[in-house]
Amino acid sequence: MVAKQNKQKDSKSHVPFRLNLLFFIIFVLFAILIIQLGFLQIIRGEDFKAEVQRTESTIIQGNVPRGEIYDAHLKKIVGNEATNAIIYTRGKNTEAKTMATTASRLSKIISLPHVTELENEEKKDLTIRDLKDYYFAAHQEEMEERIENYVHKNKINSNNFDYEDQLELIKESDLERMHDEELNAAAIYKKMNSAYALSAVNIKNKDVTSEEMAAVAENAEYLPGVNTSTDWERVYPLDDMLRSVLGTVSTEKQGLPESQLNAYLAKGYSRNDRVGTSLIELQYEDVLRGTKSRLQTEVNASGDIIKQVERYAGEKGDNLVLTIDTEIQKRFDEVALNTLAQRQGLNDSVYITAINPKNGDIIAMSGKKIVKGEIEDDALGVFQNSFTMGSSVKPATVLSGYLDGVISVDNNVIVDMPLQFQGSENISSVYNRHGVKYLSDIQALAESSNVYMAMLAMRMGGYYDYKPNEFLPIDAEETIAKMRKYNRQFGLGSPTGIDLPNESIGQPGEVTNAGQALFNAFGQFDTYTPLQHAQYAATIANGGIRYAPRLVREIRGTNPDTGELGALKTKIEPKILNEINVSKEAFNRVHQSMWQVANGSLGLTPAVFRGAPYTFAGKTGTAEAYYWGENESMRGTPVYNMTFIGFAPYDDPEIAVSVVVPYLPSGYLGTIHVETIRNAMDAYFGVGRFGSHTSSDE
Amino acid sequence: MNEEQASRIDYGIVLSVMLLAIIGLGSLHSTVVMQDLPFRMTIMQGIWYVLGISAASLIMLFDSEQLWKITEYLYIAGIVIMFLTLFLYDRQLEAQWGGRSWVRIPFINFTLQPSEFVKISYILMLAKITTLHNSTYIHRTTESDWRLLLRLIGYAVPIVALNLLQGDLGTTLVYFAILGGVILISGIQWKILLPIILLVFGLAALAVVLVVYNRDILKVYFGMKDYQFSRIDTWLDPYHDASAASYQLIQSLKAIGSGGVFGKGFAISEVFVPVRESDMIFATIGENFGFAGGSFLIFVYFVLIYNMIKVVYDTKNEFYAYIAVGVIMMIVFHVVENIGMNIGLLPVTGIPLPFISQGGSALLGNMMGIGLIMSMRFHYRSYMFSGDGDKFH
Repeated sequence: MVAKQNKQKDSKSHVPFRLNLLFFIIFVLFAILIIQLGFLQIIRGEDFKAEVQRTESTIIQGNVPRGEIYDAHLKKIVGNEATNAIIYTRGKNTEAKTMATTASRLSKIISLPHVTELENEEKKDLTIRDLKDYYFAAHQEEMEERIENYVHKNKINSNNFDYEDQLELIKESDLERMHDEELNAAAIYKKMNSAYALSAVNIKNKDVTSEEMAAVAENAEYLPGVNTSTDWERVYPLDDMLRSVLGTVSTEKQGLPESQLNAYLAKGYSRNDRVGTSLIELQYEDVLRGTKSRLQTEVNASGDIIKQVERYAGEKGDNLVLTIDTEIQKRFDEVALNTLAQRQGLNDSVYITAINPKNGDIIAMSGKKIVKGEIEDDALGVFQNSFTMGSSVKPATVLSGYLDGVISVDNNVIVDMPLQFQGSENISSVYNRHGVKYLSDIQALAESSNVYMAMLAMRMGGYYDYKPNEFLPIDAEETIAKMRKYNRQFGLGSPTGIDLPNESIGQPGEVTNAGQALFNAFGQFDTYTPLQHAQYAATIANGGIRYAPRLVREIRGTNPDTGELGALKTKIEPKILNEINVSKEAFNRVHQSMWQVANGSLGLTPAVFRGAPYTFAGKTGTAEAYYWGENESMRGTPVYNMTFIGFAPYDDPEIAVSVVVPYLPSGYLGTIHVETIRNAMDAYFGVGRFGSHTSSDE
Repeated sequence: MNEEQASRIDYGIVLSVMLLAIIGLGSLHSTVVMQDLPFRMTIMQGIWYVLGISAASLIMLFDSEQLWKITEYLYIAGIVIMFLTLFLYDRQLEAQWGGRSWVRIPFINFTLQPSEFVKISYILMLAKITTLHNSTYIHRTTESDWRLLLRLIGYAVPIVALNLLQGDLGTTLVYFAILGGVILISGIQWKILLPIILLVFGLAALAVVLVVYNRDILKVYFGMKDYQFSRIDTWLDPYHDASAASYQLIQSLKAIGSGGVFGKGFAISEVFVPVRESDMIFATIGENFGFAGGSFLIFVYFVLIYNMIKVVYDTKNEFYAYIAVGVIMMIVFHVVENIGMNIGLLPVTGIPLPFISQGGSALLGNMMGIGLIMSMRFHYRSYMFSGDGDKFH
């Protein structure tokens, strides 16, 4: 019995013992948990607390006003107008819902004008999509429920049901129910949502009232990331003067141009930074951009911004001082408009460009163009449009003859007679259609002999001994290449080196026969821009030094006290591109001939400058060309381009001018180009009808 | 009579579970507030508590004989349900969490995880096999012990396999833990158990070593997936791993650690922890109530386990003893693994904290386990005079 009981005990007793063992193991496991918990919370608790409360400090860059642009007399051409702004800096991980809450609060104290797509399809600035984005963010719980229901009902894998699909669940009726304040919040939310993490964006920068500024400042605590600030806007005190070359600045919304995004980002720009996108604003972006302010920004563990302290106030961009004299520019514009008022035929534009031959400074560049019946500023056309210039290039041809050695100061008389060739067009000088005349270079220029120039081209091609009705025995390509090489030394057909992007270099004609070399000699083949034309005029005027034309003369800082133009920072030196290796004597001969054109009694041009209080020398041009303007249906129509180059005063030139009046009727016999250049010179010297202007303006 | 009636209810267990329920609802609601979750979640969990308590009360009414009789049916039903789940699983949740263990109930739009309930029939089955075996082989021999061991494993294999097929590693481990607990208590001699225990731990250690030094072997020969390794990576060095799991763990450690001794207070959080409402709910308790709160919770679990073991001693019914061990192992494994992973002791596995984590199926499964234990004392009277002293029936 005892044995049996023992046996029974033996066989059953395993349960209590093993249960105790299990209980003990559980006790040990739980004890380990508590020990580890104690280790985490008591021993390392402070470390973790510190880690959680540790805020991350980041530097956020703030925008500074862009540099301004002044004329040669320090008169403001492009300025900034400061405006109040309410800005938003997005945190590192700020969620849509948080932003929607902030937007909703903000909508109670500021009002952001908006037009929704529901109200007006055309003028909308809040699309249905924008409204949906806000609706989604503001009603997240409701949306989650809708999504869940929809996904279940339609048995969709929620992973394949992306945000775009989810937005579809917001019905138009939901949006229609949104009241004004909500729509206002949606407009605010849209702006906030456009911010990149840790960068600032304007919520409102137009017509911000002082009440709104105060309300935002007071409630800053409840509006994480929202701040008051000042923004700027480009203003143009001289209206649209030179607007086409001043260039544009991108808006905050446009931000950095997509094509150069990475290059800008590498330079430390933010995506929504405003940058110069064309012409002067683009060319001098590095000068104008300034140094951004730096705000030390504390971000807490969940990525929200807690505090911002300004570490560096930033520096406004430096200012540009242009070579342009706005007073002269204004007068040139007037002259140009006056010329355009007398337009004939297909003539739709006029370009007057003045360069200081001593340093390449562009004194004024006026371009006016008629587009769809409206006159527009086209100063841009001065270096982007090109025309056949006609005889005004002849001084370059003569000097090319000197360069090539086919004429010299002692040996430059050539017989002018009508030229006849087999297989090429006949050439004769306008004033000498039939006879035979011996011409020096001076006479040839003064009388504008086409034949003389053609003969120079023939000589440059190695053909001295003209016999009528021969095939032209010159190599067309080689000769034209040679002529172009010389012309480029004057700026004709080469980049002028102007400090602006996207300069056109004119259109070289396509060489098909040798006669073209002869026509090129009197400006009837290659096309040039008015700026090249003007650079060439300046190079002739100063005796062979080709300066790069420039618009910006100086870079100046900002006076920290007054905010006005400050001290000189960089003086931009004139840039000599090349010098023309022709004797002074030869230049003098060319100058003399040009004096005769303007003041003598030779040639076809009346002595327009006789009696002017300054001495002018110049050369006219009439190009038989084909219309290639805006009106596409008229392209190819034969037209005359009337041009003029010149300089003054004769003894010590300080201004070289080019006038181009393109697309006049073929056979035009008028003197609009002559009147234009006389007016332009009078405008520069403040004489004639510009005499009184000067005194009244100053 | 009233007193007697009253004594049939195990108030130690009821009280512990009630406490856990309060802590659970409280911390879930705190999480809802902190992480901006829908309030619906708290309400739903409340409803699940009511359902769970009802289920427990219902199961409590079954006495051991009834349970004994229906065990096989429950076991087979369990296997069938698990098998069907392989085909009926919810595609959406599968895409979301990568497990095929959820089934969506049509019309009411609830998802259930059958493996959470099947645990109960599994426990019953293991308990019945062991009890039957031990009454047949009163005199233990090495051979009979081996036979018992193989039978237990034999019955466990189909269900464990189905769990693995559902791709739910966490729950599979729970089934192993239950099996281990029953094997330990079943009385199998140490000379068999010890080598097995050593072997299991040895293999586990080897697996970890392989994961660290040569995971290709595991991939090629055992078909393991990269995400399974990431658990180990995260566990060993959360700060040098950029995966989402590490982020979860680091955030959890930060939340719990920064809770300090007394916590930051109800619903106050400075750290965002992903899936805090379910697997990471201990982070809420740790952050809100600190070491005091966390260790109190562990203490409550301990009291619950103590009371369950006490029932076994009080009732002295072998079948019940194994059931109780199964339920205890189930709860303990959940508690240790869940809290362990929250505090960086154990690798992160998708296992909820019993009675606390959001989720109906697990809660229901645990409540059913509690129901089984409650039924022991509730029906104890029937055995009151049939046994003497230390004897187990």
